[in-house]
Amino acid sequence: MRVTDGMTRLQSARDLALAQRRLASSQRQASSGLRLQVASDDPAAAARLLQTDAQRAALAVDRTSIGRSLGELAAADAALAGIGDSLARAHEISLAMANGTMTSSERASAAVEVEDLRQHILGLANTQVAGIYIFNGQRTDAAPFDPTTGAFVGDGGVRRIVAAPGQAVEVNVTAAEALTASGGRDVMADLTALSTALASNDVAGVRAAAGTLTLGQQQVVEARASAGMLSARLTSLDSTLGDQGLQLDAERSRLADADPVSTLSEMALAQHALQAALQASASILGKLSLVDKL
Amino acid sequence: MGGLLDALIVGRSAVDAARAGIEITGHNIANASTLGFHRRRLQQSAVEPPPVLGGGVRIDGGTRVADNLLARRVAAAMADQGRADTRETLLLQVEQASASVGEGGIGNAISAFFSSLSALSAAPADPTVRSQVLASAAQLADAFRSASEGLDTVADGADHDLVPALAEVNQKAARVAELNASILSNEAGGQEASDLRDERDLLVGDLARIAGAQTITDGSGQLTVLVGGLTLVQGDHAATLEAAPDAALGGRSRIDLVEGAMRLDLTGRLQSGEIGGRLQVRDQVVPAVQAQLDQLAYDLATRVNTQHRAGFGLDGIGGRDLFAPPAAVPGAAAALQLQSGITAREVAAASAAGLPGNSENAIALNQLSEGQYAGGGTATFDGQVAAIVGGVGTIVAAGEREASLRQDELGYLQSLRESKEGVSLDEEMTQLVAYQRSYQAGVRVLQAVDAMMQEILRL
Repeated sequence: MRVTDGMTRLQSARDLALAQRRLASSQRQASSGLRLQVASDDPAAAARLLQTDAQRAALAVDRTSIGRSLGELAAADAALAGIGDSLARAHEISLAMANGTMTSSERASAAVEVEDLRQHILGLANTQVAGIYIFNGQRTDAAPFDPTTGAFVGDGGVRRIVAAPGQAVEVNVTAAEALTASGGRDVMADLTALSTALASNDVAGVRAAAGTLTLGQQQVVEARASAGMLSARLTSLDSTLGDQGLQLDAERSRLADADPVSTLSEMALAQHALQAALQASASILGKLSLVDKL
Repeated sequence: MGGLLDALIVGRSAVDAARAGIEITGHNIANASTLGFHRRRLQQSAVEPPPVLGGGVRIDGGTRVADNLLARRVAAAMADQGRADTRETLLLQVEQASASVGEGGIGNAISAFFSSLSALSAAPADPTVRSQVLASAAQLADAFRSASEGLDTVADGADHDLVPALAEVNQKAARVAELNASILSNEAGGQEASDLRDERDLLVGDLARIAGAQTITDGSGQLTVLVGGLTLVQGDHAATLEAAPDAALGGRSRIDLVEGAMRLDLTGRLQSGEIGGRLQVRDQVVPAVQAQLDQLAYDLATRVNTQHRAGFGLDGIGGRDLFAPPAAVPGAAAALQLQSGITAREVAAASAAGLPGNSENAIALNQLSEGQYAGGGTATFDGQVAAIVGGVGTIVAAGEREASLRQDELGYLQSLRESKEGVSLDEEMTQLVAYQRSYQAGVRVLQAVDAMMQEILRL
């Protein structure tokens, strides 16, 4: 083949452009640390990356939601524990006051303590976390018990959150199930009955109240256990999501991040290639010509 | 004496031929870097010697070293390369506009929107979380709108660039027609009009690159130029290409071949050259991506609205849309926006009125992300975005590969052409030395004859 100057020039220009392009692309990867910057870098990986990112975003939000609900459940647990303690105290009083040796004035003062306990329980049942009444089902904007009359005006609805992609789980226990007849015993009414019996020195009434309070205590323990179960479930979901999150992070890195070792060695190679191309072009274009020899 | 005079003429012919050779070599050297220059060769032949021994050398003229077949292949490669190169540039813009894999892309906006609904399920009465839902819905609408507008901008850009490209084609086509006429008259004497042919070849290459023009050469050296299979230049006459706004193309330009009173629509036939590349992106690639985005925006807005209408806001009122309901699929992406006047309190998280802690509708809205409601019921919204982005990425990557392939192909053919038709300085230097020697030798012949004549005259 006949080799002309124009041909050599074209070839050199093409080779240089190629070497420059290669260097620029490896430099871009090395400086950004990303293998995938636009979809055309690797279309299949780009599609996968978008879905991975969507899952990562969903997981992060779900874990925040779980954290929020766990906070509410912890508050519910503490409140139910307090209610349980108060009920235990009321039960203790009822047992003590059922004893025939107690005087009516002792029973009257016990009635005052029971009333205090009832008020305390009422306060705990109306617990708010960040402005929402945690025991009032779906009517989170109102107290389940009327603070003055103590009457139950609440909602027994189940609250659910999206706790994992495609999965909505229950996150509340209600005052209705823990303290009202819909859970078995109307605990507040039982306490009122006890304090009334004590005030009126009605020993049989006090004795009867002792029996009902045991059932009430049981009911609160069950509510607390169900809060514990919900917490346990959320905690386990959270740790699963945490693991999935790590996997997704790894997946993302695999899809999008450049491998530093191979990127840097590619860049070094590209630099050498460019240098070689420059040297070759310079020596061919600049030096080898008959013009200089004649 | 007569014999000596003949020898004198022979010597002069040698000197003349050597001078002509040096002229041609000089011309080649001078034009070594001239674009489109074909090297020239001196054609010379021995003069038949009747009646004596030698008649000397005759200059038959300079010929232009050209390979018409190769020229046509180079032109075809230029047309392909022009198309692939323009297409690549535009495709990168399409990708930039519609297939972002990072922040601000539709994919991220959709996942952020559904995530905000998931957060709403955990705090359905929280005003900040509610505002976040509206904000992410607005961002989603923005992402669709800006992708759609970005695509429009690319198509508009491709459209606007047609006018200067057509002007260039018309100007070059007219010049080819002029050159056809000049070449015909200049070559009537049998001598090749090399420089005019060089210029015409260069123009033909440009026409191929811009409009994918093809050529036919007839026996008399006249060049017919075809674009999209129709005649643009024939002999000394050139038709013109004109851009005309067409309602069927949404107000963008149709390309007509205009010849006197005749107008022919060439738009669908121009598939090569830079113009072909622009038309492909404008009329095929962009509308296809646009249609996918429109369908996705329509499906998403309609689904979300239906579910949103089933729920109730904090004010206990239901039946509201979250997005302004799209009128039709075409244009849905560009028109996507929040329902006007919707407030954070009106976001329908609850499935029943008057229950601020009820997040059943927020959950149902969030679950829309899990269902196959996009792509005609074959994909989730996320999955569909990934499919669109992956699809655009594949087209762009293929476009880039094609551009580099076409570039290589053209480079190879140009090298081949340079190898045949280009100037080699080394070769010209050799010729220069050879002609210089010939000249010196010719002069020596003249000197020898002169000396002999002197001898004779002294008798």
